[in-house]
Amino acid sequence: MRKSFENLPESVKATIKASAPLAVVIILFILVANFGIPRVAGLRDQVTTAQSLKATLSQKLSVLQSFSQSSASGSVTAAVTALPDANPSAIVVSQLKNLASGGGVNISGIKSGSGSTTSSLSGINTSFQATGPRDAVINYLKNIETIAPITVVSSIRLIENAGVATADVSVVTYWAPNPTVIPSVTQPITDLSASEKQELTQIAGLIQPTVVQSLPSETGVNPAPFGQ
Amino acid sequence: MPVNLNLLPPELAVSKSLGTVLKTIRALSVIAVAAFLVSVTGIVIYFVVGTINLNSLNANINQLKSQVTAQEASEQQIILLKDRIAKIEQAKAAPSALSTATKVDSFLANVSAGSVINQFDADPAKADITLNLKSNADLTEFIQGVSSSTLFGSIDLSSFGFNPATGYLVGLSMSVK
Repeated sequence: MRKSFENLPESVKATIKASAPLAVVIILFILVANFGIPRVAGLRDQVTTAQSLKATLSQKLSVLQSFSQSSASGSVTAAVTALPDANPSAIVVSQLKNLASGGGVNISGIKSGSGSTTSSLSGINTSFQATGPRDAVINYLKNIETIAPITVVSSIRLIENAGVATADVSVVTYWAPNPTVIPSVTQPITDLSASEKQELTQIAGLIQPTVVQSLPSETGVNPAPFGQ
Repeated sequence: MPVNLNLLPPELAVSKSLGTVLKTIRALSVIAVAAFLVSVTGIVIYFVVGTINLNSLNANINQLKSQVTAQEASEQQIILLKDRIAKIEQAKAAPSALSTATKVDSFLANVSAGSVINQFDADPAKADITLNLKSNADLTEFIQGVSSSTLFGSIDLSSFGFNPATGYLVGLSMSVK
């Protein structure tokens, strides 16, 4: 090999000697590019992902800390009372009776039965008869939709005779199961919006039942945090 | 006067043009080596700094994760509240007979207490009312209230009568817009 190189013409030998370092550098460039560039790109991606995750977690922590210090955190009981996670027929009957006794109206013939159910909401029908002076009965009807749990009047038949009004009323009271999962720790979360806070204020203004609602457990790491 | 001596044998000499090319190649080689060293150094520095930065970020992330986990109760409350509020809004949007009844009640606001509601039926879509109005003034107030109202899509006078003893008997059927 060495002998055959020495037998080459001087111009060829000089060209090879001059070009060899350049060729070696070019080969090293290619090797470094093949090895280094993917690693640098991968590292850059990891840093970008980590920065994004850090921003998400910082935002989430800020939202959670601000929520825990806000008054909204105290509204959970009112929200769960307004829309219970189980059939609230006993509570609504109690509420209707309390409302009637405070408004000078007698109610009778209370019947509860299954109502409409959608994918996210279940309703329980309650029908009853309210009797009393016309104005008292009308006021009573108007107040039905201010009680908790959320109750909507579905039909009214009112008859007045000799100064006494009798109303046959059907109402639907709603309930829905609590959510069973919370997002993973790395998922972002948003605070309550202004409209949600406004809704929460209205919910807190509903006439609360005297029956105490049990709240979901808040201790420890619970894979089904709402007690399902 | 300098004398240009070339003691190399003629077979070892390279042509002048090839000599120029070789000179250029040698210069390029030097530049390439320098560029290579700079690039490799740059990549190594980037890698080291990037790794340190990534480790620091990961440490921060782990710390934040533990802080977020410590606030799990608040997270549960937010999720629960958002769920309840969304469903409560959905429930409140359900059609209500009370809104229909309230519209009809506005017609009776200026009618005297002596007037009697014989029968009133309301559901979310329509209302039927039959009432006894004692006087001409009550009838006028009631009809004015009905005719100036924009609360209903249609209002039909289903019955109308007069009895000197009890007054006017008016029956209306109203459908919600």
